[in-house]
Order: sequence, then structure tokens, then C-alpha cells
Amino acid sequence: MSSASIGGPGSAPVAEVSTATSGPAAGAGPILRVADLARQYGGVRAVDGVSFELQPGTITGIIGPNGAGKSTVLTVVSGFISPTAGTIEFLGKDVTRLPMHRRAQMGLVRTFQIARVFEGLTAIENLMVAVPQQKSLTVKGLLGGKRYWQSEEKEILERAWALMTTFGMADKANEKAGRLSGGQRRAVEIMRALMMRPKLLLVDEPMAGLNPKLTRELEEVFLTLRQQGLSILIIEHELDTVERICSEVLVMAWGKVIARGEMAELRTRKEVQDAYVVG
Amino acid sequence: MSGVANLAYIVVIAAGAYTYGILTLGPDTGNGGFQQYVLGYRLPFFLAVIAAAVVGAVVGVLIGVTGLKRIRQDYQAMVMLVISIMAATVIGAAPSFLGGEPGLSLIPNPFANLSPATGDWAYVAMVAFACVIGYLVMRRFTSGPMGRALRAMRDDEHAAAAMGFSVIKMRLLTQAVGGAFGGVSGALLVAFIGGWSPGAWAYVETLALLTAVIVGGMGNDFGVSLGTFVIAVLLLQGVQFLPQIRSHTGLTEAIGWMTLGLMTIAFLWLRPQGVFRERRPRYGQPAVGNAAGGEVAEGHS
Amino acid sequence: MHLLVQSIGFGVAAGAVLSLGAVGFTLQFGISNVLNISYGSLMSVGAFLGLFMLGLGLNIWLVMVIGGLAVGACSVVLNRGLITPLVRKGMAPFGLVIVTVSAGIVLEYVIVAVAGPATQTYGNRSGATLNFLGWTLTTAQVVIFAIAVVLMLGLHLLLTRTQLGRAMRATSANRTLARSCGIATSRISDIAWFMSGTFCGMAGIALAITIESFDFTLGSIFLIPMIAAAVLGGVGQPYGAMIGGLVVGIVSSVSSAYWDPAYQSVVAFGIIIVMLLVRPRGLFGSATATRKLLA
Ligand SMILES: Nc1ncnc2c1ncn2[C@@H]1O[C@H](COP(=O)(O)OP(=O)(O)OP(=O)(O)O)[C@@H](O)[C@H]1O
Ligand SMILES: [Mg+2]
Repeated sequence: MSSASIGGPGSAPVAEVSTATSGPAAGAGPILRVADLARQYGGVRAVDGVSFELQPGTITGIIGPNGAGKSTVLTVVSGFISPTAGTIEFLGKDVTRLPMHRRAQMGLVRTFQIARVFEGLTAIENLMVAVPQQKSLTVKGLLGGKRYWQSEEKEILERAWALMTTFGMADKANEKAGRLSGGQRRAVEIMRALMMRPKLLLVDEPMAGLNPKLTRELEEVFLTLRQQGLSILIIEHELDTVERICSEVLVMAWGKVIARGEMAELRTRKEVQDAYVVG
Repeated sequence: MSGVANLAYIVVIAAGAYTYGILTLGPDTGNGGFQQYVLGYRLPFFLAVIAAAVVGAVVGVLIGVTGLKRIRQDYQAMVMLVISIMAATVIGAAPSFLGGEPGLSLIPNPFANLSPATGDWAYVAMVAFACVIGYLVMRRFTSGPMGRALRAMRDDEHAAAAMGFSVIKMRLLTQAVGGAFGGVSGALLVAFIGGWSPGAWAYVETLALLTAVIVGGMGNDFGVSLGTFVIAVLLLQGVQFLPQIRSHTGLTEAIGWMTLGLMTIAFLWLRPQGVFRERRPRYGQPAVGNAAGGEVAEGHS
Repeated sequence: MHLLVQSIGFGVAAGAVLSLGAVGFTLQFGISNVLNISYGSLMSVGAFLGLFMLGLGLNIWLVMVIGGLAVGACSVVLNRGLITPLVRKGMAPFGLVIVTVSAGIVLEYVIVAVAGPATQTYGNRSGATLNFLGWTLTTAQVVIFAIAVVLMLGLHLLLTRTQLGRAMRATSANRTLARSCGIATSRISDIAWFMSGTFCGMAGIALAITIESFDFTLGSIFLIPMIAAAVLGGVGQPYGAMIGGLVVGIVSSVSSAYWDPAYQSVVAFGIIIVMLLVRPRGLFGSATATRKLLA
């Protein structure tokens, strides 16, 4: 099995391992609502009054020139850094002040622009660790010992293996993650996020550095996940990819959303072209 | 204990030692001259050891709090070193508190009513017992899913938080457990040597502890428990006795410390994983529908 | 009031030595990005080399220069023989701290093995007492202050007016980028270690001149106020360290005039902890410095 392959062409197995809960949890409202979000670094207004809503079960893209503030939006929404102004609502709940790990527990999960794996853990351990509320990590689990968490651990292992197989990385399962290639790390990071049964996945340039074939495979994975009810917010520079998978696209420049709509239509808009040329 | 905090571990040991000391010294009977009797309690051995564990845990958590700030590892390490040096300096400078520079002495030996030879063996047995308990407790934390989570956190705290781990809670939990260990080992140490002063836990003793951990293997709980528990006791005790054996001008002691320093460097250079390397569990593919499937070989991590 | 003025005077004199040491410490960290805890022990080495040369009957100020250069050479050897190879092997910053701690302890006990653990003194070198602006200072204190000022000015000119200085600042800001611009960063780093060692050795000898007696732990005790000065000014910032040194010197001196002198180092300790928790980049650190320090 090729170690470079992630997600075979028939992505059916994703359906079996998919961890997304079917459908949105909180009624029919938007899964994420961001209002007047701003973030400054010193004097730099990285994000300057951004508002948008994400509907459940959609893939939304953010595009824009380098330094537009895309990663900053994602980072603030994930809770990694706090906004200087604005509010973030997830599943109808105001999470603006919630620490990152609490948001992750609610199902708001991110990956990093530069893939971050736990280098000292094996690939499959990277996946298995990504179940934050496992019994084994509670005080009860510590006192109760193996008997208390064994069955849950077995289920976690099965899910992890299924994902590894789907992404074509089963032969790397026991390899130290620090020794994996860039593409494999990215795959591990995405699988790790899926282990958490997210409701909204925030991904920052997941295709960067992947070859065209892998890019198409990852697109398939995302589309399959969407069918199962997962929402995805994706930052991507490759406009063809965006056009293929995103139902709505936000165009950012200078910290602001300057246009939004469908990719095919956006391509023809002048301000979008200008932003790309000038940016 | 997470790696960086080890640099201040000596403070935790000292906290345990002082706690044990002041809780067992008893009231001033007027026989010790300059001896300070701080509280005047004379608690039984086990109660005092438990108190030392509690104090150690609290001190461990306090040290952990300073490490919560997101600053570079080496920068944090520097803070830890500064904390450990300063703790000794402050206590040394305050004679009315914890005995100042001369420290505490005449701490009663728990086996005083046994004959010296039996007493020594009883002490060894007690330390061995504590080691076994310590090892078992440590395994709970370092093997299986918990160990996996802790190693993940050690590798990348931000990514761990992005996955829903409350890094602060876990860090403080490990600090508390590590601190309790340190407190107990300090108490046992002082129960045996009978005295404790700032000189016993200066800068170089920190290195002694680190050497123990590095040589034992930082990522291996057997190595670490061997290190921070047994070797800590042996080394610190050895240091206590060295000046009495040496014949002239501290040459033996100097050679001892130089060896220790060189040994640490050599290990970090040649075998950074230590004598006992970190073991990563290997997971086999679970046979679908077969209850016996699952891990083929789960070593402790 | 007189007590305050006088203690500020002492503080400035002590601060000069501190600045000297802190600038060396910070310069090397800024450029090679390695926290060198053995810096204090190198200072003790300087003080003992000075003692040896005084025994040969050399002039004290000549001793300071030679001792400084000799410690500079030691510092380069430390970098080339130990630090650089380990960095190339990919050792984590935490590992490097332990290595420098160990190296420092080895150095200290080499001193003990050679010169013994006993307390030493340079004898009374303070010279005539000078009265100046209401301050009573010794000639030695004034000369050391002057030397420090001259060295700092020299460093300032080097950093801002020469090609080497620009290369050093470029390396400090972004090593990889500097290398890709054709700067021989490993040579720059050697030069930084040498300069740092020279400052260190001179500070060690200056310290030995100003205090009555010292032993092999001289430098590692002094390391804490030096770190405080560096941290206060923003680690890696030479100008910050100069000012930080003066501030820490004055604050400790004033506090020990009004408070128990035994707690003098507690002040430095407090400065370190508060700064690191509240403003790790230091008073004068830039946003770049922050990014360098945050994990
Ligand atoms: N930690 C930081 N400190 C200071 N400024 C920052 C920081 N992170 C980002 N910035 C600034 O904020 C602005 C937006 O950065 P951001 O990373 O969000 O851009 P981006 O749209 O993701 O760009 P790219 O497509 O290159 O990833 C940039 O001008 C950047 O310089
Ligand atoms: Mg980005």
C-alpha cells in the first residue's frame, strides 16, 4: 500500500469511520456565527471587522492574498488567540470567552497551517490521543485502572485503525510521527481532528504541498464528510479546489471580507481580481 | 513532572524535608543550643510523611503555575533554576524561619528505638517499599492512555489544547503528583540523615537530580523513578557524607561534581534517551469482530 | 536623604559591573539563541585568572584586559567544542540549558581542583576615596564605571557603524535569513561568544576588585542579578541590558540600605519572576523579541 496515498478513490470507507454526528446539534440555525470580529497585533489590524455565518453541512472557503488575515480569523475562531473585538457563536452559544480546549470539546476543531503532530508519539497514537474525554483520563480512570477503560480504549483503537486504513497509512501506524513526511503529517493531523467527532472542522491550507492526485483524494474525503453532516471552513489558495468543494466562498483582503458568493461567479468580479493582483 | 519543572524539583524535596523536620522535632527541650524549634509538634512518622507529601504537592503546583506562561522552554528552565537557587537563599537568610543557614538538626530517627543495624535495614526496607508504591503510582500515569496524553502534551501543548485537553489541569495534576513524590522522598531523606539545611539543596544538588533523571532515561518511568527516588536519596546522602571522608581541600568533592557534570554532558551527547529508553506501545490492527483483537504488545511508555 | 543619595551612588557603581556582565550575557543569547547558564562560572574563571596574574605582579587594569580576552577564548572553545555540535545534532533548548548548567558546574569545580575552595581576595585595590555630587566612591569604582561606559560606547559603535555590527544584528533578528543573505553566521556566532566571554571575564575581575573576598561561586551568585538585568531590558537586547544593569544595581543597593541586605538578591529574583510572567520581552523588547521568546 502506497504510503503516499490518502483516501482511496472510492472513499466509501470514510462513511464507516466518519465521526461526525448526523446533522446539526442545535436546531436549524447556523452552526457558527461570527460578528464584527477584529484582531490587532500591535498596530497591525490583521482582522478588521469580519462577520459571517456558516450553515450546518456546508463547506465554506476563505481565499485571499497572503497576509489578508485568513489564518488569523481561523485562529481566533478556534480560540487559540482571543479577538480584540467581536463575538463568536458556536451552535447558538457564545464562545468568545471560552478557552480553546472547551471549544474543541464542543466539536469546534482546527488543524494548523503548518501541520503539528505529536512527534514523539506514533502515528496511530496521535489519533488515539485525540479523544479528550476518554474515561482513562479521569480521576476515576486513574483509580479504576485498566479494567475501567479497557473497552473504550478498544473502540478508540478500532476507529483509529479504520481511519488509518482509509487514508492509506496503515503501514505507518506504528511509525514515530516525527519521522513522517509533510504530506503524511498533514494526513495524521486531519485524521486526528476527525477522531474528535467534530461538528465544525477548521482547516488551514490542507492541500499545500500535496500533489494533484492527493489533493483530489482529500477533496473527496471532505465531500464525503460533508454528506455526513460535518461543516468545514477551509482556507485554500488553490482556486480550482475551492470551486470544486465549497458552496460559499469569502474573499478576504486587508483584514476585511471584500466579497462573498460562489467561486465561479466570484472569479469574474473585479474587486476579487484586484485584490489578488495588488495583494 | 514535566521536564522543565525538574529543574526546581530540589525545592519540592526540600519542602518535604522541612515539613517532616518541623513536624517531628518536638518542643524545645533546651539541649540543642542554637537549634530552632519552629512549631513544637512531634507527630508520628507516617502522619509527618503524609504532611510532607501534601506540602510537596502544593509546592509542586505553585512551581507549575509559574511555568504556565507560554514562554520558551529554555527560558522557563532558567526561571526554574532561579527559583531553586532563590528558595535556598531566602531560607538561608532568614534565621528565625526554618532554622536559617544552619538549618534543622536533631530530627528524630523513626527507628531510634531499634538497634542501629536493624534500624538501617528498616530504613532500607521502608525506602524500597516507598519506591515500589511510587513506581506503581507512576505507572498509572505513564502507561496506557494517560501516558499517551501526557506525552502528547509534552510534545506540543498547543496542539493538545486544540484537541480539547485542558493543558492547565493536566499540568497541575502532574505537578501535584510529582510534588507529592518529591515531598515523600525529602521526608524519608531527612528522617534518615536527621538534619537539613539550605546547603543541602544548592545549585549543584539540582544537577545531581538531573543527572539521575537523564541517566535513568527521561522518558521511561522505571528510569525516572529509579532516578528521582533512589538515586536522589543516595546522591544527596552521599553528598552529605562526602566532606567527612575527604582528607584535604575538597579535591575529592570537586572531582565528584566534575564527574557528575561530565557524565550529564556525555549522556546528553551520546545517549540522550538515557539507559532505559522511552518505550512506545505498538498497536496491531484489531481483528474485526474478534474480541481478542486489539493491542498485540502493550509495553509501558 | 543622604542615605538615599549614597546608596544610589553605590548602586550606579555596582550597576556598571552588572551592565558589563548582562550585556555580554544578552549579546551571546541574542545572536546564538542559546541561554548560557555557565556564564556565571566563566566569570569566576575570569576572577581566578585575575588572581593568578596579580600574583605574577601585573598591573590590575592590564590584568582586567588580559583576563577578559582569555575568558573570551574559553567562551569560543565552549561554543565550538560543545554548544555548536549539540545544536547541529538538533538538541532541544531545554537540553542545551542542562548542558550549560553542567558545563558551568564542571568549570567551577575545575577552579576548586586547581585553586582550592578557599575564599580569595585581590587585596585592597579601591584606591583613594573621591567625593563627587555628594557621593563617596572609590577610585576603583570610578575607573570601572568609566571602563564600562567606554566598552558600551564601543559596542554601540560596532553594532551601528560597522559591517560586522550589521551582520550581527541581522543574525540576531533572523539567523536563517541572514545565512541566506550570505552572512557567515557561524563566524558571527563565534565572534559573539568571544565578545560575550570578554565582557564576562572583565566583569568577573571588576567584581573581584570591588568586593572584599570571593570564592569559586562568585559568578554563579552574580548570575541572578545579571539575568535580572538582562530580562528587565529584554533578553537579547544589549541596550536594554545596559539600562537593566543600572536599574537592578540601584534598586538592590537602595533596598539593602533600607531593608535587610541579606535579601538583596531577592529583589533581583522578584524582578526576574515578575518580568517573565508579566512582560517576558522586557521593558525595551520589541515585538520580534516577543515572538522569539514565546513558545
Ligand atoms: N503573531 C503575530 N504577530 C504579529 N503580526 C502577526 C502575527 N500573526 C499574523 N500577523 C500579521 O497579521 C496579518 C494577517 O496574517 P495571517 O496569518 O492571518 O494571514 P493569512 O491570510 O493567513 O496569510 P497566508 O495566506 O500567507 O497564510 C499579517 O499582516 C501578519 O503579518
Ligand atoms: Mg495563513
